[in-house]
Amino acid sequence: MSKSVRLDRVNPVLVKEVRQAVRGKSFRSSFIMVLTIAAVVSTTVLSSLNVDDPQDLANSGTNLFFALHAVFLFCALVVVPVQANRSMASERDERTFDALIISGLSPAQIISGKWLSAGVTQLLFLVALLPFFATSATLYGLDLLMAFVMTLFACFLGLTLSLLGILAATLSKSKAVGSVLMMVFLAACGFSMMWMIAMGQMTMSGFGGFGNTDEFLVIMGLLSAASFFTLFWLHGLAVATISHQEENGMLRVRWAVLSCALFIGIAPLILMSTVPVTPMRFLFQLNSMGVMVLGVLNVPLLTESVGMRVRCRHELESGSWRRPFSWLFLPGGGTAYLLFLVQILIVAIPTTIYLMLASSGSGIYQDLSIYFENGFGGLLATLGVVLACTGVPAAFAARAAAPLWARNSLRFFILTLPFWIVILLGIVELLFQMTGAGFLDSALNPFIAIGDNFRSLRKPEAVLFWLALAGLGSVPMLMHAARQRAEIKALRRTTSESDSNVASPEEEPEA
Amino acid sequence: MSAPLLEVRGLSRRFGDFTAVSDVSFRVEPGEIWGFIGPNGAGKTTTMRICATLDLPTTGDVLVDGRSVLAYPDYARERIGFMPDTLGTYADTSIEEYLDFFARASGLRGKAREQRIASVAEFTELGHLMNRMMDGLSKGMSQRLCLAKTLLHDPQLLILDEPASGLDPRARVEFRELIRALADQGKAVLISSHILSELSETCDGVVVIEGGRLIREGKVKDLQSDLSQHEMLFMRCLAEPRAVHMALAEQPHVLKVREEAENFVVEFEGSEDDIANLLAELVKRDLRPIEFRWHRIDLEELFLSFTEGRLQ
Repeated sequence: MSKSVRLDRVNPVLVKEVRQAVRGKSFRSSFIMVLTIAAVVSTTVLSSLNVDDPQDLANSGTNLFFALHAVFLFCALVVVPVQANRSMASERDERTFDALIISGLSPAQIISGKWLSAGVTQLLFLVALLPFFATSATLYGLDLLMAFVMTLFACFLGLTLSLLGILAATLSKSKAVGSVLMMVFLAACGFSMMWMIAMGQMTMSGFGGFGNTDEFLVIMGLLSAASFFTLFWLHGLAVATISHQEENGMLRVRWAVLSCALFIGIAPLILMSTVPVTPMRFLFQLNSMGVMVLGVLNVPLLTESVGMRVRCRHELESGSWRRPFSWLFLPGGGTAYLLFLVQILIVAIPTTIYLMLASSGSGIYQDLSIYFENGFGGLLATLGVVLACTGVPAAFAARAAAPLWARNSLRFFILTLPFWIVILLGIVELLFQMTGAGFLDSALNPFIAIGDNFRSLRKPEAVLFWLALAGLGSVPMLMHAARQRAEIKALRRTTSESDSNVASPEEEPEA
Repeated sequence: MSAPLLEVRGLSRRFGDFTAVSDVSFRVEPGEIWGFIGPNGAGKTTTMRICATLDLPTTGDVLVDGRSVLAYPDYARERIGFMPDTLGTYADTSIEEYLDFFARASGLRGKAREQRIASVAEFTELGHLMNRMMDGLSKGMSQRLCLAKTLLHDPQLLILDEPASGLDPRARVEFRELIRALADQGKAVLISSHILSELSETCDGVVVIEGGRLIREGKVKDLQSDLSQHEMLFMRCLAEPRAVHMALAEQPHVLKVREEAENFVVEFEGSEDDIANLLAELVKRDLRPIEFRWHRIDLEELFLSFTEGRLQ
């Protein structure tokens, strides 16, 4: 079997991009440069090592790792995202974008291919640096778990930035504007990174920060997961940007950019305000906030398309309707809803792992277990808030009959949801005070419930309340999915009837 | 009657206050080549981009094989091959890799893909250049490659935007032959060009557009006969001009005779036989005709007579 045939099932854009990237001068030169820098850094660190100093010797592995990690961070967070940005921008500049759009590839395939190629490039950099990392592992003092988590964090953040780079390029019509947007995103993320690195260094040096190394690792892991979730959102936005104009609209793109900027800009500020107080509380707040923010930001995917009926008919008529449970994978609800559930699972799985570790009763996990056991209802509360607040408008926005202005309004509502929740809470609080009932019970207040979720939701009735809310929120989406299914069944029936009404030449009566 | 491969219905496209295309309608049947002509900024490319699902109309619709490109863009893309005026190139990519990429993108797999690439490469005579990088291709080769890419998924409708621009005369002739061969295969072709002499030899019909508005559309023959109610004959005789003038004026079917320099322009209403008889009469009367030309209105004249040179 020839190589090209073997690559048949691989995304064509990925094949093209990797082929181009590896041949490109910029990749080759940056690859050689990175290898050279890694060699110089390793030599410098090793040559400055004082073997007579036990302290220096004990930290030699960590020191070398951090130095090399900085090199990898540069590749993952700057070189690869910039390349991804340029790759997408060049499609417009070289006038290949139109050809790509009508080539038969879906917008999602185009964005995925570009993004995956950034992942492959990143992997190549990582593989090239592996021998150097292995050298640091042979020295003293390197915590392999920490090294792994930090590398993973860099990879996830790099992939997220690459997608941001692609999004920036799709948003702008010129390379210059795309580059400026990319720089803004990089600067915002660089600000976050500087803070994270500073906190990490403080932790390693014993000056507080996260308290200890284990907590730092947990935070890094969770941030990696947050980056991972952000990918879905960014991917959806980039796809929407290059899709049909009616589907994306400039308003939506503006909201998306605004949300993105807010998320990137405000998140570190929130983190900075919370961490020094109680690191553990910060951890759980981060977890909840991540699910909340990213869950809400993911909702544009739920309203991705309203062309379900039209596309279904096309699939039915063209005979391409063969997949079982296809209704789940249709735009307009099914795919995104599944994606959303997958993301929740991605949160739930590490949570479960930590729960299991907590029950093993060792060190930090013993402390963690207390919070997790007490706070599992908080996770449900978070899900409840997200589903309740987004399910209903998303279901309405996804309706095929919904007019464009209504869809845009609902999307705007979903994207600015936290603001509306605050308004709503203010009204509710006011009503409570006016009726003399005092302040709203913190367990029923979504913001307080999320903020304090692992502490305040010990009451079973509060957990039940939020579970009910979660159910309430997901019902419209499930109803929407059921309606889709019914419509498709009706379409299938109509199509098969019209097919049977068309007499074949053999069946035609003789004149 | 089967649906036309391309039907444009009341198409309009506005960009803010600017109307690029206004209420344009026409249709193209399988096996036909239609020219899409108009001055710069007339709205040709906008219309073509909407037909190719790259843009959306403000009002109106485009049907490809009977289905709306708005409702069924994927269906339309399977049937349309859109060739833009310039070939977008990928750096560090050979011709073979370029075609391979677009063949993969259009869903061709395995041997079928390899065969299709070989087939279009042979048709566009690119077979011997497959390993060449795209960067250094001549204009002619670029246009051939662009056409090859357009044909990869075997579209039934070809929308070609200025395919002959920048080509040398030889390349133009070759390109025209390729287009004719495609039409002979039953494909419908909508082609825009500034070089009207190119189109006049290729097209079955034309759509004339100016200032975003449809000026005329129809089969070339119909438009020619619409425009010229009478045949125009050009002739030069060595005999004394006055005698020639008088002789011509006496002939049946001759409506008007006028002199232009050494030539006589005769407005004539009659069949081809009548024209042959007129020529025979001139010879018989020893008026010594040395040049006799039956002038048919070409696309250039059609275009000039229909349009006013308005720019948007």
